[in-house]
This record gives sequence, structure tokens and C-alpha cells, in this order.
Amino acid sequence: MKIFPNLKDNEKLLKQRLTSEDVTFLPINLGETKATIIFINDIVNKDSIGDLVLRPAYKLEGRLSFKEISNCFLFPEKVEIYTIKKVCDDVLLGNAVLIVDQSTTALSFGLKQFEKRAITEPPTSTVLKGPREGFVESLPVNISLMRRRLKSEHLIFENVTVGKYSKTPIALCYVDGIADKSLVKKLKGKLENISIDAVLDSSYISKYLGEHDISIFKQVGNTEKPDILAAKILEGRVAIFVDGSPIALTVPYLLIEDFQSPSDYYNSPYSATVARLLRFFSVLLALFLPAFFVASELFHLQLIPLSFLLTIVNSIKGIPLSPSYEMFFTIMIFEILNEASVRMPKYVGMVVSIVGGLVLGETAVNAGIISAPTLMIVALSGICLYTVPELEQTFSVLRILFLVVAGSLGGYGILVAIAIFFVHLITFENYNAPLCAPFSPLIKEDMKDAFYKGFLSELQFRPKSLRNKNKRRIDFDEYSKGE
Amino acid sequence: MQSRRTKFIFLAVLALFVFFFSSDFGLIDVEKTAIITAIAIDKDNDLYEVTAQIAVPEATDTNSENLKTQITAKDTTIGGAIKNLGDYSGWFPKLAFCNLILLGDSLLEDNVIDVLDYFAKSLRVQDSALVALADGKAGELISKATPLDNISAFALQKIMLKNVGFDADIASTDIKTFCVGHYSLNSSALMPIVKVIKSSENQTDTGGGGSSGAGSGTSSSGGGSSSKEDKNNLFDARTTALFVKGKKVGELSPELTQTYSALYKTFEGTSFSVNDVDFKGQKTNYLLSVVDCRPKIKLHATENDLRLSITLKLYCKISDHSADGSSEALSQNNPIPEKVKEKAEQYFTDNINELLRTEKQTGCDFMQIKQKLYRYNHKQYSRYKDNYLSVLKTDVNVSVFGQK
Amino acid sequence: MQYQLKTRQVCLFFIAFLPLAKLFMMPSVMAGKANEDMWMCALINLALDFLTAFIILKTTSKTDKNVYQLLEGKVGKGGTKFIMCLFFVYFLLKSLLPINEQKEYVIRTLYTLTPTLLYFLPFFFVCFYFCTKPLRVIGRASDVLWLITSLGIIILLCLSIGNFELSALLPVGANGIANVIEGSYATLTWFGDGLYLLFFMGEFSYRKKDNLKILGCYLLGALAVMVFVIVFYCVFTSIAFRQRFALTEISKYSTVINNIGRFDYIGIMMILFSNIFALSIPLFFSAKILSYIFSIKKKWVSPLIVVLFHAFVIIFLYQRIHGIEVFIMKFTGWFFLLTANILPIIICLTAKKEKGYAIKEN
Repeated sequence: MKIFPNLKDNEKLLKQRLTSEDVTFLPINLGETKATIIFINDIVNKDSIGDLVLRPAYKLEGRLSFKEISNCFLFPEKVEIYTIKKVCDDVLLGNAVLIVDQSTTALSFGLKQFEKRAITEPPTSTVLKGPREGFVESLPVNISLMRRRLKSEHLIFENVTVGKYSKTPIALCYVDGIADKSLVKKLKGKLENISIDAVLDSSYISKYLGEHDISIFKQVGNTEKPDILAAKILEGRVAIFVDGSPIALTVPYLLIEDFQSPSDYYNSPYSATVARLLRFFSVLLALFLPAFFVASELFHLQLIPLSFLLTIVNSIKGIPLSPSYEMFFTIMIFEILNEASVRMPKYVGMVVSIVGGLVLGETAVNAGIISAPTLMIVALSGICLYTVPELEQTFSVLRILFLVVAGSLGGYGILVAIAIFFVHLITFENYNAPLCAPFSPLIKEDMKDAFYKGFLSELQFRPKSLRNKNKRRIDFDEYSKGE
Repeated sequence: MQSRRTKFIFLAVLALFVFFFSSDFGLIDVEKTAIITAIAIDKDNDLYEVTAQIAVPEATDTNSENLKTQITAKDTTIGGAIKNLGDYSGWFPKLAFCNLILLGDSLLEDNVIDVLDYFAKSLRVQDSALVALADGKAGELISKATPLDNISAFALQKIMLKNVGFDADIASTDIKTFCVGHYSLNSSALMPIVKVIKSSENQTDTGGGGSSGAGSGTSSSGGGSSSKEDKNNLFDARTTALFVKGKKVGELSPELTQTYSALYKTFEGTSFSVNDVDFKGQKTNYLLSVVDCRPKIKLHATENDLRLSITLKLYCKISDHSADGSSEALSQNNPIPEKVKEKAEQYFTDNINELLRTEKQTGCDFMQIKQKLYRYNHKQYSRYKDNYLSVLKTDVNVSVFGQK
Repeated sequence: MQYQLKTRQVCLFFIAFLPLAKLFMMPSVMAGKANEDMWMCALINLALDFLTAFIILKTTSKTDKNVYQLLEGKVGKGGTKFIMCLFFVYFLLKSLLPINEQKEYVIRTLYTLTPTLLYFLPFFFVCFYFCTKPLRVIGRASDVLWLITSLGIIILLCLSIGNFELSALLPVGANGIANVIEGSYATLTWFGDGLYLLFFMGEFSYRKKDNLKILGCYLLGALAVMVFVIVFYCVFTSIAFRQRFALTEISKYSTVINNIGRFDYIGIMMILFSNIFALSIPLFFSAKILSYIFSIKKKWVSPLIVVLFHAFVIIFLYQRIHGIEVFIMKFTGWFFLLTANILPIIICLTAKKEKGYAIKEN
């Protein structure tokens, strides 16, 4: 619906639509022309309204055209709007909208001023070396953080608004000339088609971006750090910022991404390689140690060295639960403690750790409820899970699943379960990127940043696992010319 | 389609959980299992008497040792007797950790392969388990307490497993090796004979030489003594029993066992005594340790001649001697005195000839001459396969050198 | 044109899957027929497959068509369906013994306390899932499994070092050519890997010298089989024919195992894992062929039929499985030879160079 020429009609209609009490309709005179500024009290910068809108307005005299009125506001974020809907949307976004009598055009001033958090180090990816900045909940701040890192005309942001009620601004971010344009188009199309009440966090969006609804594995990458995001989009990925969320999404996602810690890129390749191998090994331990231990105890005693077996038999004497139940319930206790310590206030959380770790653990062993090897295995497996924190949730579900398989079907059952997930993983593709690349399909060039971290000279090209353009990222010929 | 798949996955996971929590589809967990560490087999009339030594973890902390218990059961077959072990005890016998099969001498009346074949064929037992012949009743021998380990089977395994320096003194054999020998062309196999000795009577002699012979302070293998007295038991397995077609046909003394090892097994690191070496009328005993051993056994067959040439080169160093300070022998400590070398060469030459004599007398081809005939002289195999022992000529050449 | 496979994946396929099914019962069957000459049985069968692979690759260099298109152009749709029926039966029979071996192995050596069939049944589930996927899955699996298979075999062979005598293979040829051929004939069901190349034809972009790479990898896989067979006989010599599960047997005499327990099970588990896929591959092709013959569109129907057939044989005919074993080894060798070697060679030798087709440069 277009804006009426009559100010009264516009006001009446807008008051019907914007019924909330915090919406202010401020009538002003622009010389002899009547006008109204509409804004929401608590989310606009009132000082700026006074300085940049009201002060020049009161200096006007006589009857002025809309163009003359518009010209007298020297305001950088000034947009002309023509529909009632857009007026409402802009007001709700936190802007101040000026509607003028006898004009079918309104002016929107970008005066929104939301409360925002300071830029801090994200708790999920702390580093010893390297930048400590993390994204915040404000989209403009996040965009500025990216612009600070990539001062290039090729860094493109495309905006979409999603959410029937939340009208959340979402920005697609990519590097033109590196990212696959068809991917950007596909993503934008997907975002525009999302019909949802509200987007309260980027995770709401990630569910829509996955191409396989029921997969247990992540299909969209995420990060809270601008340096990591810059590196990812320079590899040809597309990032998605959601206003109100400090977590940026990246597409396409490869499983290996979560094994690549930011610190790998700030340390020497040797230590990075060792750390990465440790991460792979830890994940294997986390996933399979409880399962194989239970399978060995129940079905394949011959897998355990005799001296260790005697220790186990000794420790489980008098334990009321069978080895599989014992392991299952110990893992459940671990998960409960984990869940509780995350939700509880910081200081109570510490108490939970002490109670869980020392009191529950030691007392349970002494009381003969659980055995010491089981407790040790659950603890080790639990710690190992957190070497790849991004995948912790997926892996903790899989760990329980493998345990249940081990307790029911033994070692061969575990192999079969692994085989099922293996087939699923190797055939899994999201936006034409195989999830398990560069292992399957085997991409030799990308292995330099997979199992091991290659030297700089080995990383001259962007990953082949992704469909990107402009393959070369380091030009040593240019470098040697400079020398 | 999507919801059908979701339902399927949900049902599969649900079924798995039901399966997990309902549990016990014939499941036998570790507490219901008897971890058998050794089996002793005797024959009582027509019944096999199987004694299983079971490890019973009683330790409350890691520093204390595990205990053992023994159960005996009888049946007409080995499998039946093992099954009875479970029936009598309520434990499920787990044989995967059984690393020792001890055969009582009562089995020697029959073919021992009847017993060992059960273990060789059964997938429940590792055929890498050691096999030995008890000097007396196997069930009694295995129950002897020893200061070496609370579980006597472990003590026995310790002396029979391959350890550098000790490997050569005992002709240790596992089920597979015994069966390979038995089912080979010569149907010959061997296994060590285990005897009980009292630790107080044990001599330090490591294997003969000269006139002394092996220390073999054996005691009666009959058990029944009190546990305090029993704690003095040690085991000696340096004598070797020879089998042809599963029947015992002879024995190799500790000296011959050691010489056999020099020819066919790892001999480096072992020691042997050279006694009564005469230096100007003074008798001196030497202990030589082997640094390198190079045996060469060649069978040469022609239409008229079957000749086995054995060459043994031993590189040794002196480990100990009984010479006093003024003796000439002491000044010639390094290199090895010629007289010592000569005596050592003579010792091994005699032993090798004795081995060949034993082979001919017993018909047990433990030196694998028939196999060599088949493998390396196949053209003459049909000519000599039935009379190779009677027509065999031998050349034995032993050289002892100082350390290289 | 979008290819399902890469040349590299075809190469790795042979390293990953060629040796696998041959590590269980096959060596003992060969030893039973030819004793110390058993390696010759393996060599003959591997050479036959090598020849088949060589000829198929020659044809691959002349055309971009897959086997269905090639046959349809030559013998029409009806004729193609008939030939495909033969291949369908071949793949169905080929996997029978290896699956049964795997079942026997799993329930008799892994589950010694409670040997029930139940523990093996999940295999059919993964098999079904694998068969519903496109051909790409074989290539992708090869990319990873070649390493797992190689590591598994290397671990087992390393543990066997020190327990075998190479002279056990002497004298060469003493058992007579008849026994060697009998050994080859009885074990044909475990071979025939060259045939897979016929079904890979047209599914990967053939470039110059690709045949050398693929045949080189075939030879690597064949070498692994030969080494395993030789080590197996040298470990067991006179009792080799009694060792039904060669895989577990050869490594357990290692001193490492005496000291730290069944370390070899790491290698065994790796091989068992890869073998799940190796056993599924013949079923995969029989399902694809079935879909072609009856023009079945739903991707789960043919895999279900094929997997149910095998599950039926394993579950309900277990008392007759020994008879089936003997029947396959004694009487079906000619059929295996015909379908896995002769027929593909004839198909390839009669194929003409496709007009305008040129081998791509590397």
C-alpha cells in the first residue's frame, strides 16, 4: 500500500498497524508544512534525532517541496520510502521515519541504536597465539570486523531479511572472484524462501541450509572468529551472518574443518601436525574406546591382554551391573554432569565439577557401584571428545550409539555400525562438496592441510575439495621477483 | 519418503536399545568365565583326566598377586572333560588364554596326537600354546607351588618362552609346531619334559660339558606335600622327549638338547661349560658364552651316496673360569686358550654324533633329514625315502673361535 | 560428461579389495589340493584375471560407452539382458562362499563363548545400504579402504615374520600340474576381479597410460595375495590345509602377541572392516544388473532382493552350506571361468573403436 498524500490518513493507518505503546508519533512543522516523525523510543539514538533531524527542521520557513525538505537533512543514512509497509518495517528496525503532509514519499533515517556487547574472545575457540577478537550479536559490527580484515572491493555482502515476526537482517558474505556464483545464488534463493516466525540465532538458519534433513552430521560450518571466517571465505566458502547471533555460518562444510584448529595456522607446521594427529586419535578414542572395552568384556575376552584382564575381573567383582549397563550409566552420569555444569551459574558449575569428579566418581568406585577401569575409560573418552569441540554433540550421540551396539552385538556389530556411517559419510555431499573430502574422494593436494599441516610452499592453491575459482592463493614467483 | 526414513531410523534405534537393555541372549560375561591359564592331561584307565589351572583375581590392589585354583574333570574325550569342567564349576571355561598344555606320562601308552589334535582343531584354544611332557602325573606337577609365581603355569611358561640366552637350553614347542612335525613327511616331533626340582637342590650348572652332566636335582613328581614345603619347587625342562607318529621313542639329554639348539634354533647369548681343561696338570673349568653361532647343515644326495655335512662355527667369549690367579690359564684369558677351544670342539662334535646316533636308533627324524631330502634333493627322494637313515653318511666339523 | 569414478579410484579399488576375500578359506583349499605348489594356483588365477583386465582396458581406451551401451549396440537389448543374466548369476554365486566364510569366521573366532548367527546378521543391513548407493560409492570407499586394507595386511605379515621358513615351498612343481590346476579350478570363485573393470568401463575418464596405472595397482593387489599365500604355507607347511581361517592363524605365533596380547586383532579388525565392503561389491553389481534386466526404478528393490537371497541362504540353508561349498568348488569352476574371463574377453575383442573417440592426454 502506497503512502497517502494526506498526513492524517497516513498517521491513522500507521497507528492502526503500530499499536505498541513504545512507538512514538512526534508531530513537527517543517516551515508551513506539517510532518510526523515515527520511531520506537528505546532503540533509536535520540541525540541524533535532535541534532540531525529536529534542529534543521525547525530552521525551515515557508512552504517547501518534499525535495527541498529532503535536501535540508544532511544525514548519511537517509533513504526515501514509498509504501506504508516499508515505513512500518523501518520503524521496527529501529529507524526514524519522517512522513510529510502532501507527499507520497517518506524519509527513513538510519538511527537505530541497539545495546551491544563488547568485542571479546569467544569462549568456544580460545587460542594461545593469534587474534582474540570474536563476533558479537550486532550485524554491522560483525561486518565491520570482516571489512577490517579484507579491505577489498571483492568482499561482497548481500542482504536478505528473514522471519515473519523477527524480520532478522541476514547478510551473505563472499569474495567475488573466488566463491562459486551459483552457490551464492542457490544460498540466497534458499534464504529468501525460508518462512519462519523468527530467526533468533544463526542455528535457526543452518537447519534450512542442510541438504539432508535426517543426517546426524553437521552440514553447515560455523565460527565465532573473524580471522577464521576470513580464511574460510578466501577458500571459496560463503558466509552467512545473522543479526543477533555471534556465530557466522559457512557453506559448503567439510568434516575436516572442525579438526583444523585456528592455532594450527599460527604455530609451526610440526606442532600443528602433531596436534592434528592427536585430535584424530582422540576422536577415535572418544568414539570407540567405551564400545570396544564393553565388547571385549562381553564377547571377546581374548582381545584383552591376560594381565589387564585379571585386573578388570578383579575390579568388577561385586559390581551389580553388567559391563554394558555399567558403562552406559556411567556415560549417562557424565553427560548429566556435563549438561548441568554448562547450564549452571559459573560458581555452582565448579561445585558440580568437584562433586561429579571427586565425590561421585571416587565414592561410586569405593562403594562398588562402578569399577575403576570403567570410570577411567568414560573420563578419558569424555576428555577426548573435547579435542574437537565443534563436533562434541554429534560424537557424544555416536559414542552412546556405538556403546549400545557393542553391548548388544559385540565387536563385529561395532564394525558394521562404523561401516554404515562410513557409507553415509562418503556419499554425503552438500552444495557439491563431499563431506569427507579430502579423504574420500581422495584429493591429494588438499591432504596437505588435512592429516598433516603442510609448509607454506605446499599451500599455494585453494582447496580443490570446494568449487572455487582463481585457484592460486600464494604466488611464490611474485615473491621471488620482489626479492 | 523422508518421514518414512525417519520412522525407520527411529525403529532401528529403538530395537537396538530394546536389544541392549533386554540383554543376555546367551551372553556370558567375564565374571561367569573361568580364565584357564594351563591344562594338564592325564589318563586314568580309559578316561582322560583334565586338570585346568584357573586364574582367580583376588588382589585388592595392583601390588598383590593373583591366585589360582584347579579343577579336575574326567571324560572319554578331551572335549567332554573340558565341558565337564564347566558343569562342575558353573564357570564357562575360556581357553583363549591357555598357553600351556602339559601331558602326563600316562598318555605315552597312547598316541599323543589324539590329545593334541583336539587343541589343534579347536578354535577355542590357541594352537600357539606351549606343549610339554610331565615327568609323572601332569595334574600333580601343575599343582606344585613355586616361588617364581603364584600361578605355576606362568612359572612354567617363563622357562619355556623364547628368551635370549635361555631359549637354547629348552626345546620348547607349541601345538602347531608339534603338529607340523607330526604331519610332515618324517612324522617326527619333540617336546620338553618338565621335571620338578627343589630349589635347595638346584645346581648352577647350565648344561653339561665334559664329565659333569647337567644339574638335574629332580625330585619325585608326586605331589601331596604341604604348601610351605612346596614353595621350594622349581622346574627343569632341559630334557627333550622324541616322538614318532605320536609315540614316544626316546629322549635327548640336556647336553644333546643344547647341541640340537645350536644347530636348529637361536643359540646366541647362551652359555656352555668346558670342564677339566688341563693346564700343566691343573684342571680348570670354563664357562663360554656364545656371541655368534653359524650352523650349516647340507644334505647331498647322489645315486650312490647320501651324505649329511654339518658345519658349526661358534664365536664365543669366556664368561667365567675356575682358574686360580697364578695359573697360566688366567693369563690367557682372552683370547680363548687353544686347549679350551679344542675341548669345546670335541664336546660339540661328540654331541652331534650322538644326536645322529639317537636319530638312527629311535627313527625320530628330529634333524629333518627326510625333509631336506624331499626339498633339496627331490630327484633322489624316492630312492632314499625308506632307507635314508641306514645309508646316511655324515661329516661333522665344529670350529670354536674367540670373539670376533 | 559426469563420470562416477576417477582413474585413481579404479586403481585403488584393486589395492583395497583384490586381496580381501582371499585371506580366509582360500589358502587352505589351495594347500589341500597342491601343497607347497599352492602359490602356483594363486598365480594362475591372478594371471587369468590380469589378462582379462588387460583386454578390458584395451577396449576402454577405444570407447566411452559403458558395458550396457556396448552390448546393446552389438547384440540388442534382448541379447544384452541375456548376457547380463549370466553376470547376475555369476555375482550372486561369487559372493556366496566368501559371505559364508565371513559368517563362520565371525561367529566361530570372534564370538567363541556365544557363537550365534545373530551377531553376523547386521552385515546384511550394511550390505543393503551399500547396494542402494550409486557406483560412486565404490570409488569413494576405495579412496579410504586401500589404506586400511594395506595396513591390516602389513600388520599381519609383519607379525608372521620369524615364524615361517621359505624353504617349505620346495621342491617346486613336485605335486604335478594336475593338482595345481585342480587347486586353481576349485578356487575360481575367489578370483575374477578383472571382470569389475568391464562394469567400470565408461564410468571413468580414460586417459593415456591409465592402463599402466590400473594394471600396476592390480599387480600390487595380486602381490599382496601371493605374499600372503606364500607366508601362510611357510608358516603351516604340512598342516596348512587344516587352517580354515588363514587370516587369524598366521600372526598369532609372534612373540609380540606373547608379550602384549592379541595385538594382531588390530590388523584383523581392519581387514574385517574392509571385507564388509569387499563382500558387498558382488552384491552391488548383481543388484544393479537386476535393476537393468527388469528395468526396476526404485533404488531399494533390487538390493533388497539380492540381500534377502543371501540372507536366506546363510540363515535357512546353513545345514546344507557345506554341500553348497563343495558344489561351488567342484562343479561351477567352468561357469566362473566363462563369465569372469572368457565372456568379458569376447565382449572386448569384438568391440570396435568408437568414431571420434580419442584418448585424453594426461
